[in-house]
Amino acid sequence: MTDPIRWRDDPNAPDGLQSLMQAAEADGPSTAELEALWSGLPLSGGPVPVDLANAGAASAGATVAAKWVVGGTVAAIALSGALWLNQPGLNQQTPDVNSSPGAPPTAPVVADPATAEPTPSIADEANSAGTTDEGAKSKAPALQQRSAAKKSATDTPSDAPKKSEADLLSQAQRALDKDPKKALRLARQHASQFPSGALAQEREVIIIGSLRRLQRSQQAQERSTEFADKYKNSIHAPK
Amino acid sequence: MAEHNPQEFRKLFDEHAAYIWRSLRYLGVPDSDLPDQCQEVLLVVHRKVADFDGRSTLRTWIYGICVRVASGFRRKAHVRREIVYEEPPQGSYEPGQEAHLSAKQAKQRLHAALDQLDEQKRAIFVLYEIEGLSMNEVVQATGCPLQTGYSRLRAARAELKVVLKATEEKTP
Repeated sequence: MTDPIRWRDDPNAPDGLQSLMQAAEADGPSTAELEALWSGLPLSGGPVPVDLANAGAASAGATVAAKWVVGGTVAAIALSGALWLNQPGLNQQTPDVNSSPGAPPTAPVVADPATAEPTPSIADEANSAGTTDEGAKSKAPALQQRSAAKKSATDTPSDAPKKSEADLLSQAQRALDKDPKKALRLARQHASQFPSGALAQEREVIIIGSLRRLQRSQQAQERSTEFADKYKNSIHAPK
Repeated sequence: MAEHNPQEFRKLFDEHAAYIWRSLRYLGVPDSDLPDQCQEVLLVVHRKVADFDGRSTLRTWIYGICVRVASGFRRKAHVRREIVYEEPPQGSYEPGQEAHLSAKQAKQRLHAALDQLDEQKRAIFVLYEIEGLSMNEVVQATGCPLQTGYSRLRAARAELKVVLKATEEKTP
């Protein structure tokens, strides 16, 4: 059987489906969102947002990022002595790691993000996409250590301000669902540290999301209106 | 391989992150959770890429991970309870923004229509119609038989046509 023509390639597709599919195909993330995503990856060597009180109590409901965060912290502490002797700028780039030397060794809880990996019916059917990973699980902490170490070694001082900005918001974004007050605080911290930052739109989206989650609907609505006026062509504008 | 080399993984990230983001979005992950779920996919890729056996393309393999991560996410209880909309009021748009607004509304309609599909049909539809995979690649990513893939695509198209038609008629 041959593949049917896709709606996006079919000028005869009914009811504007061709343009709808083409719009969906072009619907990707912004550069800022991708950079924030990269910075938020523990293996990218970015600062690790540490909330040990919450992470230590992390259970099935914890986010993936939170779990890797603590794993990354443990890995970073293990490597900290040697790394920081050779990388004098590192302390500035990883303030959160540096500020938590007393982190408890919670690696068994967090070392394996695959515990949060779903096992849905589609996965049960899958035969080729790498769904079984028992062997790989034990490698994760070691990989984290290597990746973090190598990335840190390649960081340049000029990256530091941008990374700090993205990391602060990444941390706020991760806190949004679990702790909107914290997300709001971090976003406002970003506003004070980077009033003309490149990620001002992302900051505003987080603030609006935090206000909504805190049931401060009126303020959220006002902020939304201001946002739509200020950033008319933003990817974060209403869908 | 990428897992041993951050530069290599950065390259992999640059090549694949955008469609990971997009596919998760159309597979039903809300915008507020996209960064977390993208991270999930990327961490799984990082962990398993050394074991990637080349039976499919790397892209197809990653799509398979996206499908499973999105599926798991949608099954979580908190997702079923909480739906967060980031919608500034439509009235805030200037007249010149009508086309922009129209495109946004169209995408919103598509998301709402996709939400009506069951998980399997949605995955097949998104990978085939939006991501442009061949049906062979789609069934590799989702793990279903080829004929099942075709029939799910047909069913998804039929359902979507009905839903989109209905929502279009409701739109003033």
